[in-house]
Amino acid sequence: MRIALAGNPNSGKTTLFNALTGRNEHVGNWAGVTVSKNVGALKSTFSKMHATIEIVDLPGAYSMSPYTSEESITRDFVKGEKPDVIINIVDATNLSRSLFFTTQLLELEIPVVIALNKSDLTAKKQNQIQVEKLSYALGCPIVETISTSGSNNGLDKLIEEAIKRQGEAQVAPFGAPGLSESNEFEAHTIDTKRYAFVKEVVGKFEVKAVASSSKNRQDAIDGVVAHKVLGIPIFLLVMWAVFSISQTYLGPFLADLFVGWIDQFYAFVAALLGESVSPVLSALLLDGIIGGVGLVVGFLPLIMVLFFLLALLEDSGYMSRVAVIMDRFFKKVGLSGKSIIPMVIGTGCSIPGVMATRTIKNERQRRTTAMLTPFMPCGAKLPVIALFAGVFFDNAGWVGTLMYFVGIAIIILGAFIVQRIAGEPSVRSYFIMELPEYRFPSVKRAFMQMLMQGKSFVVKAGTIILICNAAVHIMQSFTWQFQVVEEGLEATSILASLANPFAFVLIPLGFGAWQLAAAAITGFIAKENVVGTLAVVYGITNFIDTEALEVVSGTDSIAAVMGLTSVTALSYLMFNLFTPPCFAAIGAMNAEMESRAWLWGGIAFQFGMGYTVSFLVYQIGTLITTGSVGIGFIPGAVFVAVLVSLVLYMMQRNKRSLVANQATA
Amino acid sequence: MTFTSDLGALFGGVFKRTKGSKPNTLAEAQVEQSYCISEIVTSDTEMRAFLMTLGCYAGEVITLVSKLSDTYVVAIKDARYSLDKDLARAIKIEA
Repeated sequence: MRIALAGNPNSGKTTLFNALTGRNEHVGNWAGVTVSKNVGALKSTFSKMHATIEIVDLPGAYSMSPYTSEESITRDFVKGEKPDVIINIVDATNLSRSLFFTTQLLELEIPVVIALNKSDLTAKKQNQIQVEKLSYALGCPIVETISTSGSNNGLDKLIEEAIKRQGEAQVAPFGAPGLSESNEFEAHTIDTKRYAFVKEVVGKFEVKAVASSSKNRQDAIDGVVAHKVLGIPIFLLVMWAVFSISQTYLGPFLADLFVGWIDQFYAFVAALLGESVSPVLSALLLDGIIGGVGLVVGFLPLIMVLFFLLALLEDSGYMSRVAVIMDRFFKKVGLSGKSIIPMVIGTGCSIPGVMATRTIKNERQRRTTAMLTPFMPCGAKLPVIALFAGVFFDNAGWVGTLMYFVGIAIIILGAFIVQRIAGEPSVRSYFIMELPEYRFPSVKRAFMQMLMQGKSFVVKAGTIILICNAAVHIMQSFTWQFQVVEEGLEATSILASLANPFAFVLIPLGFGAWQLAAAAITGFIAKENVVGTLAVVYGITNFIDTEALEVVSGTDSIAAVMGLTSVTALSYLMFNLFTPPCFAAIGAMNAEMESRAWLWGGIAFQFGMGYTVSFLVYQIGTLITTGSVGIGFIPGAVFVAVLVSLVLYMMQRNKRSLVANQATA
Repeated sequence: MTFTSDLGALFGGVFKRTKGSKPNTLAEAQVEQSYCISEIVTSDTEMRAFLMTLGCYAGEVITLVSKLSDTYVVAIKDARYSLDKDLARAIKIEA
């Protein structure tokens, strides 16, 4: 038996889905969190049936109208895959809008059960709904639910009613005979009648204590938080708090414990292996695997705390307000305020960030945002930043902050360029965003979210990163003839010969060494690999101090071993941060771009940007510090000049075609 | 711009100064006031259909709750939305 969960955005469908199936899908207090359908099996505690019941969580929809391009997943599923029962989750605090969609669902000849959700809020507001009479008027059972509550939430009764309804007929309470939806004008008339019906029903059976349109405390909070002048400083303060708690205070505190355990494990295994095992194998196991992976996993607590705080932020309802604040700035570069949400999520992980771009209706804006979101340093890039800040800049705080500001600058520049290349300034794209009610973020939900995202990080570390580290270690230890590489002759290894061609291209950026090239390449598999590979390739492991997550004495030697100055280190760091993201994120980009041209254009843009930024930092930095430009200046400058002129050419071409279109129009 | 439209603008301006200007679109509306929507003026049929699904169409009531950071916060049928100026200008109201 299949039950579909359908309803308005932000009505509580995914929260209900998680409660019914025990799954942990992404939730957030803003419209548009769920972008694709989630399928799960109903927990056995809810059903005494022998057959499994499948629950399908659909993205939120305001209507089934064929005239709005969005929400087609819901429409296609419900009309195409014919679920046995539809549970329509209705936000009890907004009957007058929610029931519009309900009337459409009731016309599909599939039995419907309404979950009148957020009934705790209704009670708090002292609104009254005559549930039984409403149920009779609509022609389907209504169960009051509180999907956020662990117990006494109405879910048992909801499932009971849904199972009962299977196979029953569904009569539509509203009909508009003689009119068809295929004609746009008639569809409008139908919808107007629909709302008239809803108004009548709501008017009869709902009593609101306070009119919704009058100014309330939430509006007062908005007045401060989204204030024209105060808005941005408050937002920066919030983001600063998120980062300092996760990176400076709570995060490192937990990380120390973690790294302590890893050290013990390392010593344990080392003792176990003893002297008898071949040095190659022991090096692979201890330094390659435990050391390399351990280095990355040591950052797990910092990243988890970051995920936790971002989840709290999402749950509070603040995100929509951030979109409001940023709208007038983003408009100047052809985007809208909605583009900020993927970027904020992207500071945790680019993948959910890029997926969040689906709520952006305008195709060009959505694709641009998907391409630019990875420029915000994600959680996986944090170990890279920390490593370089620690080794080369004495753990200075400005390094990390600078990376984020450079990311923002690149995003602004990128949006501007894309608008000039692919945009049509005359096309209006409106900004409209629902502002949900604020709620006190649930620590439990944020914790679950953190665990879910942390789990994928750990799984990634245990599989992809582990394999990469092992592979790199092996490739570094052997020559093509499968002989062990001799001391001092590292350049004969498999890894060196593979990485050298790429290293050549990177010479104008100041880091044309095969080790660094190899690390950058493995970074495309997972950004954490940059740290892991560097650790393996330079034989530096176990250099994180357990006391304060700083690099211990040996800092100088590490810098010397890598052969980087502070300028080239900064250049290398920026290269890794601002090139195309890991393959998984590129996969997410592909899903949103829906166009080969845009996908490859996006990747080319990302690579070009990373190369250019890195080139400028290295060359200008070397000029400032030593008075002359660095190695490979001419070829690098030529390449960058070609990139820039290509971009300018595309901008000109678009401008000309727009003018030509206007002339003919 | 032709002579007649210049003249019209001149007189329109004069009238605006002498009479209390009545809001024509939501962009000119007064905060904390409710209005009846007379028309949604836009060539974007998708947006018009979308607004319909929110309950924003000719004949319905819309309240301007506040103006924040160059956006217009409105109340339509128990929900709050933030609209930008372009969209606010597209919503014609009866004062």
